[in-house]
Amino acid sequence: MSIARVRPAVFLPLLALLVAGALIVPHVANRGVVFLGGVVAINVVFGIAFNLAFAKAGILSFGNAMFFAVGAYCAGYLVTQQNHLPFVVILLAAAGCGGLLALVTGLLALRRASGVYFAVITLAVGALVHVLIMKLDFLGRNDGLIGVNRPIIDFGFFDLDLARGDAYYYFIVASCALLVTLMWVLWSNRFGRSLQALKSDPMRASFLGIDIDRKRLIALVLSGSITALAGAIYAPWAQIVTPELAHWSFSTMPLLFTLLGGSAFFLGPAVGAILFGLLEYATRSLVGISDLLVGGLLLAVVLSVPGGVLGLLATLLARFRASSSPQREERA
Amino acid sequence: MSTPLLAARGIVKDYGRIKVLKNVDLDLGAGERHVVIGPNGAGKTTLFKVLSGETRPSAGTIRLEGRDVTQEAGFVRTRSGVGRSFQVARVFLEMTALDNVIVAVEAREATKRPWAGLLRLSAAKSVADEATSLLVALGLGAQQETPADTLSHGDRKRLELAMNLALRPKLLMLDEPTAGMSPTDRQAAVNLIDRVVRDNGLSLLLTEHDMGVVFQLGTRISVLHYGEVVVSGLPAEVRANALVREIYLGRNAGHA
Amino acid sequence: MAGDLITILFNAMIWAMATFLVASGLTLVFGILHVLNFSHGGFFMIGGYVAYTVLSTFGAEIPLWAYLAAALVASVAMGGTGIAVDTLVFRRLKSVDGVYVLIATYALLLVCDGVVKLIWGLNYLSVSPPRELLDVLFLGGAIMPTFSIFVVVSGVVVFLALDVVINRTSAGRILQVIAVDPWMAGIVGINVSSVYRWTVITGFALAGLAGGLLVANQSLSPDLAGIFILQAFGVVIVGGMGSVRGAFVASIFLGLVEALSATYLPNYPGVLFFATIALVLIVRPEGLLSRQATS
Repeated sequence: MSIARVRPAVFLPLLALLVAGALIVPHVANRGVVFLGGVVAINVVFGIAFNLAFAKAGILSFGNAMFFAVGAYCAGYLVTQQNHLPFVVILLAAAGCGGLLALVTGLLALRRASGVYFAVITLAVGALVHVLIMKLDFLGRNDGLIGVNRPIIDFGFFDLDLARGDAYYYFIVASCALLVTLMWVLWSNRFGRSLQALKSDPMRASFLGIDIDRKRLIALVLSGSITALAGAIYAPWAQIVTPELAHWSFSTMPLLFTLLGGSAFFLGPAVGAILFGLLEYATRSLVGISDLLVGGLLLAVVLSVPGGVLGLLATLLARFRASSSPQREERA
Repeated sequence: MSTPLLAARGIVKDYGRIKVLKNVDLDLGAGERHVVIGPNGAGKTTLFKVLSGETRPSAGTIRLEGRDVTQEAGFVRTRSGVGRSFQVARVFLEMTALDNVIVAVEAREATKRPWAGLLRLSAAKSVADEATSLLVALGLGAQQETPADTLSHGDRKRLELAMNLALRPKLLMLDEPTAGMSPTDRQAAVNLIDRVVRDNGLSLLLTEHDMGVVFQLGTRISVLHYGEVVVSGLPAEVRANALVREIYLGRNAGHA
Repeated sequence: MAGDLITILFNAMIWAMATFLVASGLTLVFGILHVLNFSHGGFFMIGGYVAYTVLSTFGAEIPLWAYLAAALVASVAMGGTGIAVDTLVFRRLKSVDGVYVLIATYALLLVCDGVVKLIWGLNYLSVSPPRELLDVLFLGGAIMPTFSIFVVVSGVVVFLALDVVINRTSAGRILQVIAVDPWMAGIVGINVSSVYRWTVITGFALAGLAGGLLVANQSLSPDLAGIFILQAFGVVIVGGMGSVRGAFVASIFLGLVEALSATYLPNYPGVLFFATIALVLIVRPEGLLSRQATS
């Protein structure tokens, strides 16, 4: 499979299918399911943003929760305290904060650090962010920020009131679809190819003139900004932002989505996020076991199906093709 | 005398207390094919690493077309026109041969224009065509879609060469290009390198063990012994040099 | 004034030795197997909870021997768990990309959290120190609880024991060889696989022991794993991955940082700790004391 020949004809219909599925939800399900649907859409972005850095650049981060939290808090704070600002500006500010945090983390850790060191540092920075969030008064300390209302987007000649009905849900679907498309471009274009090269053989990539440190940093900053954007979109959806969003255990989520769906596939994290959403819905009465569930599931996937659901399907498909083609050749 | 393409002065390289390179001077002029030879442990690979930018020297200077590049990272030197191969060919194993060269071409283009074509998903037609013609020129036309990890050792070396050529370098640095090859393969490799260097007007720096290769390809030879260049000159001079004979024939007769 | 200084030093040592007790097993396993076991903090925590359960049969007055026995039980229990983890996780993922081992141990950390919440609940639990160690000493104005002295002594004892084994016994020499060149070790007839297993068991046993010894040092909650694993990581980074001596010195160094931070920056816990580690990473990323081998 050539990575230099990309086929939008495969991806775009899949995306359209997912969007169509998402758009149906408010018409067939109750409020609770709609809320979960919005969360799943945001989780899809959360997971793919993680995987962009992980699968393409080989960056394993245990701290992506901090980007999500920074984005959520940024949006939450600005929406509640500075609500004269256009929502788009708020979203960009959140992305910027996430990007900045990623830049600092990357400068600290990526250059000389091996994968292990980097993972530890993301955990450490994440813990620091968590502590700071809980200590800062203007961020609501342990209680977080409440009353993060869904904003009105002013387009000049008309207003879009996202607080009305399911408007915000449709906003989530649209913006997440946009972000997924953006990430797909980054995954498939020459930037994505150069990341893959640098992950495959850093020395060879270097001697092709690729600045591998800089590229990895860029990948991390992109991942962090988009994750922060996901967090910012989440804040008015949940209407409350709490410090748990920055806890290290929350960083397992994008990992779980990615590994469950399959990290080698662009839409792997999407599959994982949807499956996890279904799982959460099915077990919603058993509140107290979520840590065990997430950790156990992630562990089980890594130990038995590290290629994820899509990887398993791909293997089965390849085996099926291999077993049926000799027969075809015989007939010909 | 015109500025040499590559000029190394007083190169010293220590690894802890071990002094691998003691005081190396080396000049390489444009169009020259400079071969560095020496017994095992003389420091050839280390010298290569220093000259290509893989590591920094402990002391000394390296100039590329007169410009001081001593502290520059490997990728910067590559961007300045130096292509380099590894003893065991390094290619992107999970990608097809064509994709490997496409990545190389895209890397070259990205150096010139970092922001161009980022919205284009597939590789540009001109890029793909260039990659294909490079592979064909190196005899890998039939293996374009083959994943690099299933290519033979020799084919991987040719692929690596194609990738280096995609960078349009001025200087090609080859680290023991015929290592591990059978005599037939070796001769084919020599012919290929010779043709490639001629067709593209490149300068060449290589390290080698096989004397046949050395004298077929080299226009200038430097002999490295215990971290110092003891003899440097035209092939005929070096061949006749008594010290060289002693280094090579005194201990390992016939084998280098 | 001097009392303040002694207090700071004493608090530094308590933090240092408590953290060292946890970090010792972590750095040992990393030095020999080159695996950074994220779940180490989780098993430390479970060790503590196991000790708690054992000690809860003693009511309010816990004799020292019982306290130590509970720590031993926790140690053995965790050591046994180590066998399971080695078989199911480390060995299975040995040949696969190193990234997956990291993810697996990270997932395991979360599982430990979940297990603790499930079995012991979310509330804070506490154990009072053994009745022989309920006293307090006064040294020049500083207040030094005897239990805290016990913690410090425990850390030093464990360090000395490890240091002696690693540097002065033949077993230790084998460990050092394996840390540097496992292939060669195998060639000269050392059963590398067996040594790996015993190292993992020891690492987990140390985690359990730390949990049991420290059970009265702080309250027990599911947050304990996360808190201590970060402290241990800090120590391992600063001291050099794989070095027990490095971990010991780094613990003391970071203990001082923490004690100063608690005194002068009480509203921003962890900031100075993090800044110090960041500085070390920038200036000397391989650790302040590392010289590669387990020493």
